[in-house]
Amino acid sequence: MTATLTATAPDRRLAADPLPAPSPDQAAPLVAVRNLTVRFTGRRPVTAVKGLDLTIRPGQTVALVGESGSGKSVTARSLVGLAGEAAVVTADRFELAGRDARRLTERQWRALRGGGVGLVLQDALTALDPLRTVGQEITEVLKTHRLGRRRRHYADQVNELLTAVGVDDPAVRARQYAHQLSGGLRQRALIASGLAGEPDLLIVDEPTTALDVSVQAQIIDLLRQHQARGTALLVISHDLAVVSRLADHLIVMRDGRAVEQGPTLEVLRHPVHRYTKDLLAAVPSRASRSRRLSPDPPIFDYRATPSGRAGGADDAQRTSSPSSRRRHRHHTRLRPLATPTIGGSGLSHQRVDTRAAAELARPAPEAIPPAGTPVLAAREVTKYFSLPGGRGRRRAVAQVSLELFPGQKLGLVGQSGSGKSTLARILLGLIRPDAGRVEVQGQSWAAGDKASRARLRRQVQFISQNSAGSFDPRYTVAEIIGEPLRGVLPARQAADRVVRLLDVVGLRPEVLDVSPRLLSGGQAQRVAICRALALRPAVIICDEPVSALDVSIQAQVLDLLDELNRATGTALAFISHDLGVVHHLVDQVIVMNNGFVVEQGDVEAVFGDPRHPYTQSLVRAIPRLPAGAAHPSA
Amino acid sequence: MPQLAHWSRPATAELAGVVADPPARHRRSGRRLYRLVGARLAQAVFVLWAAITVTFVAVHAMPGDTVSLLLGENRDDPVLRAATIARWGLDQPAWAQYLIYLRRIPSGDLGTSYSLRQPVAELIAQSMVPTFQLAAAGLVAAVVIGFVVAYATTGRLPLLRPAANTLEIVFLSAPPFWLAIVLLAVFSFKLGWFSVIDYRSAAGLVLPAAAIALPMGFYLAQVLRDGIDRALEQPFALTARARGLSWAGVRRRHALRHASLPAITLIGLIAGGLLGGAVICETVFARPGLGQIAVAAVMVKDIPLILGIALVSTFAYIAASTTADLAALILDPRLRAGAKA
Repeated sequence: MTATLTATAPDRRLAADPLPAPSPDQAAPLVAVRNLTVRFTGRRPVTAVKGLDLTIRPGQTVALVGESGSGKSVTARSLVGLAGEAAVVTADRFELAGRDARRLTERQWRALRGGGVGLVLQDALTALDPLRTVGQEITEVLKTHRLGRRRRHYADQVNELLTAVGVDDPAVRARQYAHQLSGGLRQRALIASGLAGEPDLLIVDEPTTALDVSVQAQIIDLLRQHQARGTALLVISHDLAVVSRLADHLIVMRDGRAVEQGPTLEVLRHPVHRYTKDLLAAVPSRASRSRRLSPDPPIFDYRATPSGRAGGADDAQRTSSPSSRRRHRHHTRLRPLATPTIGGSGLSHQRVDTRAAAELARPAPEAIPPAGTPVLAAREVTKYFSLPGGRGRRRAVAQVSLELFPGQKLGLVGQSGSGKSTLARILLGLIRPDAGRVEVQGQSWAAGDKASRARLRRQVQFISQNSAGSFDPRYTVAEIIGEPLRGVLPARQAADRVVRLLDVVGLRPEVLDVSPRLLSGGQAQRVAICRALALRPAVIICDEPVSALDVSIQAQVLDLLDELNRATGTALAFISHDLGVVHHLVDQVIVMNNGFVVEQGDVEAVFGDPRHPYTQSLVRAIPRLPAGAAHPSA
Repeated sequence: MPQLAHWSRPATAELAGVVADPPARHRRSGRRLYRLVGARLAQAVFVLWAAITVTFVAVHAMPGDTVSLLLGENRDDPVLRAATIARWGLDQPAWAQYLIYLRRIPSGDLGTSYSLRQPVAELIAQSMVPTFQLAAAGLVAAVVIGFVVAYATTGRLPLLRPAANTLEIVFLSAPPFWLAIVLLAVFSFKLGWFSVIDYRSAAGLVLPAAAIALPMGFYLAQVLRDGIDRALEQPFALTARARGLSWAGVRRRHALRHASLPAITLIGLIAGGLLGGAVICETVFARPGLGQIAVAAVMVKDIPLILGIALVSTFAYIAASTTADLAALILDPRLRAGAKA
């Protein structure tokens, strides 16, 4: 079924339908799973995977796509028998390499792990033991499965494996620790350890997440090479673009169920299920400019309105996301420990009330500079950081100049370490530059006394990637948003303003009395936006505000920022490593590399016709959805 | 709205050379080690000096007449008194005595005990032997208990954990002298398994060492178990399992090493304390040792002996904690590499 690209009857692909019987000429599947169900027992039991069917043939690449809590990682771990002690795995059929996995003993599982099936987790920094060298980690596979060609001497084999994943200088790298390697090298080393046992199937869990785009592209190429050598892959990702470059077959998961599956291109071009359509529509890119990313009214409740047979009888017992309730000893947490979130989405509406937003959050009259003056400007800003151990200093930001005018949206892109975040802190007046100056409405941070700096501070607000971490956990949401208003407005007026602002960002008033720990990622970001708007600033600096969010939540937050910007005229300086997000949102863009601005200008011009080799390499490396992927016409 | 012109900065040599070269990093770990040891030595000298000074001030502030102590029954004889003052240098002002004491230390001369009339260095050297035996036996036993209990309770036998928890509470909440008395009563007087009469024999060492090792060992087990549990929750533990390693293998090859890091610091502290003399244990079991002579010295205000013991205890503490730091440095490469890559 991998070959058909012609559009089939939509119903055939809906997940709950049985897969077509394999034709006899196809090789026996490596993985044949029917009705896989994974339940976690414990105080608050939860069913993470509900009746999943999965078939992987030799050499095939299957992708599981879904957002956090969709059950994709649990599925992957179940395939190596490592769903955790508290997990109860059941299936009508569960065959791995022709053997019934339901009857495997622990010893047989161990022979299979690493040998028959390799598992590569996301984030190599934590997935490799920090106390052991990369070589020791790879050797562990060889030792466990007795794959040494010579007794007690594995160095040559480790070197070969590292060379095979494109690591230069393998003998040196093998003696290094994960934290001494760059993100890309680390990921390669982890993949090498996954491939060391020459498994027929390699499971890669979010293989490119948290990597810079160019490194991302290299890792995808590496996986494609191994595909070409006949290794079957199970790719787990939230990123449709990454998946589209790797997988033959795509399974879209939501709440433990496959809502849609089929040949990758077909699913992407002709999505049938509403969730798949929304997921595709939520991907920000050039094509999505000036349209909403998130579905707009009504908020589609995938749970309440099952399409086909997705959504089932046991939906009633589900309260919040499954990941939030998974607690069991000896099982690696799939996500940072989630706390129970506010029931439902906690959202009152999706679209910003333009009039209310303008009335509440339009920059204060004193925040509007005379015509022709930028609200925020950097003039030849340079910042050095001294290197540890007195080894000189490193230029973090070098002669950066930029101007941001009222209502403008400016993007700052570059790889990690390019100086983006340092620049943000300089613009905020939190770090003093070594040379150059930052002007807020023509007034320098450095000039003037404490009182005038305090006045300027109100004009420049900040939203960080991890807003939840920026909230005092002992405050309520109302106190968090109201904090900047203390001493600015009388208490009653301030309280009233907080309530109305909360409504502008689409949060229900119930959220006001809640501890920030109970907020979901998207809700926390909305509260942060609310707090930033409280003082009617002229500029909001956003440092990777959507990087930690799921695609659909990212879409909502991006829509919110865009609509607020249009409604209030608050300028945005938007820092991101994600070129798609930046291309979707901003008007002007600045590309940074090693502290320097290498290119800047209109976003269409810079990304459409990059002149600098660095920008060209960034743009080339953007993972894209295949041509013809279903983007709804705005 | 003014627009920025689209421009691009040419690739310049400036851009090169800004990035540090990662492979060179691990070679510097050796130098870092020397720097750490050097810093520790300087620190040690300072701490020793401070310990002596504080002790000196403290004992001189204590009530009681040193000369009367030295004279004993002859305290009323003015001739003897004058001779004694001259002989022990007590006519000097306190600050001069202090300087004289400091100057003698490097040659190993710690003065002569007022009460025992023997060189302090000799007295301490004699007491060091039983103290060292007790400390070493107690420490080794504590470490063995710690690792065995931690390893056993993180395994897959569910009943071991609550049992160990109970023992932990018992041993940690019981006052140390109580445990020592109970051990003595049960195993020596009642059962007669271990005689404590001859402190030099191996059997005589068992009960005092047990009195030290049981609470320390279970405390260590707690720290280790926490560390193992935390390590097993890390993604690298799952990776190791996915390589085909057994549960026990992951604990042995990965988790135990991670758990050892905090444990080593704790072991260093325990060792330092024990080498300075286990006063309560030595008193209950009537063992000679640094703790015993320390108590005696304080009772009679034997200034040279008090100072000497303070010096040795402080030194033992510094040596133990420095060793622990070095061990941690060997175990954890992240401490060795200066900056994160």
